[in-house]
Amino acid sequence: MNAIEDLLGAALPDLPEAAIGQLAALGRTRHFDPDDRLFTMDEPAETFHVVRSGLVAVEVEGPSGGPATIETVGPGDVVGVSWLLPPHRWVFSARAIETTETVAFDAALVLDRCGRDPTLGYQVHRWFAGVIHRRLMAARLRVLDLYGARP
Amino acid sequence: MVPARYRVADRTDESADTVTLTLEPIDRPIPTPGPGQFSMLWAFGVGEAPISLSAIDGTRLGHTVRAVGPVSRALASAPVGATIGVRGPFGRGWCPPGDDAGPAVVVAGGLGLAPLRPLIAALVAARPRRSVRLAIGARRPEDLLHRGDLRRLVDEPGVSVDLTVDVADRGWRGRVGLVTDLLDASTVSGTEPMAYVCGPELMMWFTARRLLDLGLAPERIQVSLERNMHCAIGWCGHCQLGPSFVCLDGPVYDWAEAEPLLAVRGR
Ligand SMILES: Cc1cc2nc3c(=O)[nH]c(=O)nc-3n(C[C@H](O)[C@H](O)[C@H](O)COP(=O)(O)OP(=O)(O)OC[C@H]3O[C@@H](n4cnc5c(N)ncnc54)[C@H](O)[C@@H]3O)c2cc1C
Ligand code: FES
Repeated sequence: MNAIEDLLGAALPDLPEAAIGQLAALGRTRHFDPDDRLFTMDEPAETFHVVRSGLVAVEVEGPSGGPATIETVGPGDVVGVSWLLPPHRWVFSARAIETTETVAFDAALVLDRCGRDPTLGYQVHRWFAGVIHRRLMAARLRVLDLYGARP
Repeated sequence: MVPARYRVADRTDESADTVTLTLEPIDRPIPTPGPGQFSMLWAFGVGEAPISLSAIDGTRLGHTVRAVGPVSRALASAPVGATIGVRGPFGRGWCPPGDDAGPAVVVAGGLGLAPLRPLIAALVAARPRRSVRLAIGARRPEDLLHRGDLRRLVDEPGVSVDLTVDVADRGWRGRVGLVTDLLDASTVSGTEPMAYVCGPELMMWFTARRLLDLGLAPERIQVSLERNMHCAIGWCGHCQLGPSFVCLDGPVYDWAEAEPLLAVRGR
């Protein structure tokens, strides 16, 4: 297995090795220096990333004031979910905080492959359901203000 | 129980509403406390509140106070030289990992870092036999307490420090997310660690859940509970939680003891 297959194998443990290989073939290693953009809000969501090393900030930019960081994403985790559903535009921006290596996937190719191979499609959607579920839980807990709440 | 008189020898502003007071005895000191124990601090003319030890240095005591109500506001605004009454030490503190030299995982949320501070000092002193992993969460970067300690700990061999905040702007180059996200399979791999968790109850609840999910036994997770207190010596029942008196049996419990107690309140 190469490094991209290892990374995907950890994210998709139920997927057969052959399918991991197919998916890995769609991934390209990318390098980002600190402050480099991975993508920008409102632009077409064409590429998603799995972080291999480093740290990425997911940010929101308002009409006034600087960007606010919504969360940071570290090794093994996914940056970019908006490619999955219409209108396929980024809701947030992503920026490397540290020197970062990712595996970047062409979203159109992945969607096309998932459409033609339902087992792969199911596993990829399950993977992203897990990512979205984790982030939803985290967002809910942060709304509750975990550190200030009265015991 | 008559309070001993202490003098505020030093004050360190930790954040907008939180200050660490260093107290030294004016006449007789209280017996030497252990990590995780608490004192009842008297703001004369205002009242008394339970406050954990955040530093223990001979007869000098460190207390980190967040101003939330009358007593804590009076304590937090006490100037150097002011007199404060101290009763204690009270309660059952952190149970150190023993001599098995296993790793320690310390998880702090918000003000919860303060009661863990004497424990962290003891754990760090026990190296190189033991590795210490700190996972610390706060609302905002400016709410992170004891920043001088954290800067020093980052450079200590055998100690890892991970910080995360809920809300940050670009000035913050660290992580943004929940403190539970700092815990992963590597946290509990190898020799089973002892985990020490302190923060608001909700944070401790989710942290304990995460550690259990990662495979840690409930007996190896310790948490510190807070309840309103009055006498602190098991007389008045103010602090009662189910069958337990937090002032005597706690504030530190292992998760096997704490989970049913917290469930009592939910009923
Ligand atoms: C074992 C133990 C250890 C403690 N250690 C510390 C410590 O190290 N440092 C410290 O600052 N506090 C600590 N506390 C909490 C402290 O004792 C209480 O906050 C206390 O109620 C303060 O008294 P007060 O008169 O200032 O406020 P109160 O009049 O009791 O409360 C005023 C208002 O603040 C709210 N409030 C009270 N406590 C909190 C809180 N913790 N968080 C958010 N809102 C709150 C109340 O609901 C109320 O609305 C500890 C409590 C226990 C039981
Ligand atoms: S505070 Fe009185 S019994 Fe615990």
